Amino acid sequence: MRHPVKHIANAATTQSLMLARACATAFLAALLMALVVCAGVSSDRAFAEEIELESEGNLINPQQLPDSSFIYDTSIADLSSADAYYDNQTVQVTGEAIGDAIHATFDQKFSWITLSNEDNTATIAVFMTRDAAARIDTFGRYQQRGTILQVRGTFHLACPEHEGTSDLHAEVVSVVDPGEYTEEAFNLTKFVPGIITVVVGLLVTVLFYLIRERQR
Amino acid sequence: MWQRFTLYDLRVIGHYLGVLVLFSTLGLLVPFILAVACEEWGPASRYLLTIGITLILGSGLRFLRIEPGRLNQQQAMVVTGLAWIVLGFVATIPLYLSGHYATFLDALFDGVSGVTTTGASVIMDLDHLSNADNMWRFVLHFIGGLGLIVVALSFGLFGKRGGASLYSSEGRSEHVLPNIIQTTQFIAKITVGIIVVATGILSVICLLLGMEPLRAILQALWLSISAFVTGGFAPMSQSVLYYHSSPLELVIMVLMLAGSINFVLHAEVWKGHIETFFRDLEIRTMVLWLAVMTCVFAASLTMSAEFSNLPAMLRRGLFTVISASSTTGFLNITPNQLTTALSSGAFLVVAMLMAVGGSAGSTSGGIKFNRIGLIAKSLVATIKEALSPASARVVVSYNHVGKRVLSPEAVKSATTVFVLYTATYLIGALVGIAHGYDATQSIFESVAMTSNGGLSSGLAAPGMPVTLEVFYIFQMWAGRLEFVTLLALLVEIVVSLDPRRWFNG
Repeated sequence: MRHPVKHIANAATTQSLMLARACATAFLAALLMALVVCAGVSSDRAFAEEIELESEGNLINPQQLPDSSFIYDTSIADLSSADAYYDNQTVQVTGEAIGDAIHATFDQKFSWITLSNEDNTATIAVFMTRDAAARIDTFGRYQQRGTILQVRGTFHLACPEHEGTSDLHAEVVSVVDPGEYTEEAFNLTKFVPGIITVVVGLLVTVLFYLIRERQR
Repeated sequence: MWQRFTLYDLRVIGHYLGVLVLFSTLGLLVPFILAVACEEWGPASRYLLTIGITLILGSGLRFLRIEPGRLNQQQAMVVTGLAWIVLGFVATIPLYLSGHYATFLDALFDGVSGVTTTGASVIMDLDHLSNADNMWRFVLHFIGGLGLIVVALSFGLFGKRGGASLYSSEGRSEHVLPNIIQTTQFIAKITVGIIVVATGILSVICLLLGMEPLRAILQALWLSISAFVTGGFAPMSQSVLYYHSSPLELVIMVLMLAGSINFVLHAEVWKGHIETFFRDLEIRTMVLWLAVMTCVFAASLTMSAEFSNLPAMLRRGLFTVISASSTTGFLNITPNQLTTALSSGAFLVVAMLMAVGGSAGSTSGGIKFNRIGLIAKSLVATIKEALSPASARVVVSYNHVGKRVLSPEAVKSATTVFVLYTATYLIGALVGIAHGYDATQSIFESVAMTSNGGLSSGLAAPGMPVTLEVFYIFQMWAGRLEFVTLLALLVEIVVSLDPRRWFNG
């Protein structure tokens, strides 16, 4: 015969255990649901906000050009002696704008800009929109160093649109460095050798005519 | 037989060279005034110095013989021959001082190239050159293209006596108008007239292209001078390609053709005798030659993928053909395209065009059409003689400023110069090859120098070997003198320096 009190006590323990188990399950479920809800809410937050971190100078600049330039970078010297290898390739060159912005003859919206490399040994003709060309503030001339441009576009060894010119059709144009002027001040001492030689020369000429007249 | 020079001869020659140097002082005033006007003080001081040097040198040379008297044939040849070199040296001074040349020899190369209207250039950084220095380059073309002597005669600088012998040793043996002075003044007037009109038209085109007024006028003037005297210097390093303008290229093509036509025919057209123009041997040779060569060039271009469409061929091909044939030397393609995109056949066709050149009595270089025409007519005569009986007398006539009969002397002289030109082309090519350059490029460059064409395939560049550069300068000089004068000069020098002659008297 089983002890009647133990039986009743066993029954009571089982019931409380079941109750505890149910509570725990409910609590865990609630916790899980709360976590899911929180995650869902946070994913709706916009990414466009600028994140300011605590350390100085660690700002993200949205205007920064993408850093894929190493793929396209070509020297103007290479393009000016290019063969079929560069034809119809996307290239990126950096050079000084020289001369003038030449209006394209039968095309109102485009201009021709000639870019020169750093030691002025090679040039390339770039076909770009007049708006892009308007960003050039100085052109390379005597005593002027023109605006340095970085141009990315397609190079043609003999462009079919332009009757066979070697050109670069610009897609992205950016100004790297504005132009510089080196004014030459008037310096009288530089003229002194010239003035001396001219005076001597004129004296010799006059002397010649005098002697010739004397001989006649 | 070979008469050597006496000291008296040398003094007379020195005097006349001094006159020419003094004349170049006038030329130097132009860039000086422009430098002052544009406030380019560095160039202004350099040109002032050069003016002083030429005044001293010119007047000093005249002291050698104060009353020179009349020039005989031999003296005239030497004056003409040395004039180009002396003027080349004078031209070099401001060019070298500008700092745009690596060495003095490079500056001399450009000076001689300018004066002989070759047009090949070894200048560095042309795009940043001052207006004054650029103006000087084109003044050189103007002086050289009109012929130093022609201009000097025109101003009566030699007095009424020194004229005739100098004119024919100059390389212009056609008498346009009966009087020598009138002839030279006529040539000067036509040149100035055409250049002024062309400058006006090109200035308008440049202004429409968006250039500033001063730049538009200056560049139009420079392009007109260079195109009409068939020089080849261009204001910008990309040559005529810089402008990307087909109207401009069209005007320049007309100018180049006009510059490669005999001045005698200019006079005839001016007087209203149009039919003389069309019946002339040189015009007919030119039309036939250009037609054939354009077809050959077009055919060779179809082989290259890049230029095979019609608009490209017309624009680039026709311009290059006219530029080469008139021995100007303008490019509306890049030098790289000249060697890369053109097939080697097309490349050599361009060389052949330069080799033959334009008309005699014009500013063009090369062997010239009258000689080619004479040699062709002589072939016709030879065939006629071979087919006709032994006793028959064959007479072949042709039209060249009036009806003329083919004479053995004319044919001999034409053939001799033809052989001399061809020999120089080949020797120059060998010199280029000896320096290790590619064969087609060497041939092309040698032809460009001797014919005063000036289209460069890249051999003539800063840093080229010194011996090659000296040889090219010699070739430019020889070509401008059309050899005979040069050879006479060389013979005279050798004979005069031969010690044995001093004792035999």
